[in-house]
Amino acid sequence: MSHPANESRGSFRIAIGTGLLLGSGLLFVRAAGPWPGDAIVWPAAIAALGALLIWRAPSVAPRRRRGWAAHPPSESSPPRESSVRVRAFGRPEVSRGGLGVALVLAGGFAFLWANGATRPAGEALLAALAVLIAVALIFAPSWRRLARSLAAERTERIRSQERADVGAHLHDSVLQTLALIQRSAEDPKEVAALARQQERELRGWLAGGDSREPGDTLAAALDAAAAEVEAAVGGSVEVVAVGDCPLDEHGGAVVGAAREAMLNAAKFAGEAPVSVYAEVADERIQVFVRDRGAGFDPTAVPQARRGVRESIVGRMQRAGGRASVHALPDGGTEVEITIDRRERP
Amino acid sequence: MTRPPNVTVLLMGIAVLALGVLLVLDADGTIDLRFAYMVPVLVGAFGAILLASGLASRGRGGG
Repeated sequence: MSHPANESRGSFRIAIGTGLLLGSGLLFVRAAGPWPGDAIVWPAAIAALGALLIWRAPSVAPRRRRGWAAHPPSESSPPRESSVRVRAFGRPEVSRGGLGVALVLAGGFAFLWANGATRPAGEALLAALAVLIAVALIFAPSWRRLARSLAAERTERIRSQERADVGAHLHDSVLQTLALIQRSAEDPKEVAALARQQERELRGWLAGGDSREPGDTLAAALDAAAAEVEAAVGGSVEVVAVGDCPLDEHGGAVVGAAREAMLNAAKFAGEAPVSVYAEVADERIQVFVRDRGAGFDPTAVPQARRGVRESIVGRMQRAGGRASVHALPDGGTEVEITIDRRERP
Repeated sequence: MTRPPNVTVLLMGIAVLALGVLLVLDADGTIDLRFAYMVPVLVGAFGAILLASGLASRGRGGG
């Protein structure tokens, strides 16, 4: 079984060697034998070489068709590998067929030129070129105006499309929410929740058309958890995420623990908003859930209460991370949730 | 165990030998070695060496 690189090198040498031998034969005949003339033989030789390349162009996979080193498919190596090797040997990546066509055309042109047949064609070409230039000079201003008006029309179309998109979004979201707020005007909590939900949705849309699903990434899942908590308990949960990552098993544990911490904070924070700060780095994920409520002593929580102990600390320990609850000096509580991304138990 | 002859080197040797013979005959006056004959001979010799080398490389394979 021959190696593709050796085979391609061999093919290249065979092609060049055969060409040199044929050229040598022609030169010998030119010196010694009857010779029809340079104006006939050399263009014919160039055209024949081009025709040979066209006829010999392999009809295999497109990548193999390229280059001098094209060779029959080899079972031993994938096409990608062989194509890389061919490039590594510095073979020009030209299509055999294209080169053949170029050679045939060059041979024909050389034949016409050597036999003086290009002069009338050249004159016709020159006349056509002069007419083209004259037409271009006459119609250039109107073509320019046409191109400008087309560009302006395209810009206007894009703008009106954007306006239509914004209008549709405002109708579907903001106007609907305002209508709901009007209906619930007597219930301040409901109004606040609706406004908060709409604000979150609008911020996401302004930030670039947030199309993430809650199960996609950690930040999206935290946003969804915050919205759930707001809907369930009321109040306001503000999420700031620096960095993001796909939501895997460990990310799911972090979101679960953070959701529980948000729920506790929203229950006990009173009117003050709950702040959630998430930082996703290459090494680890950290989430801080902070409230400005009365605060509490985690060690004083009875054993029967399993919210913090099991749903936050225990959940993180089972996932290979950790969680801790701190009382803030100026009141309030902070839950710190950390998990290493590279350490997989 | 005998190694197979390297066809390319063999052909190069024969080409150099033939060139030497031609030059000797030209110096002797037996033949008139003109440029018009010399160029095809040299080009042909180079082409034959390349051809042999390519065929040998294909035949060897693997390496």
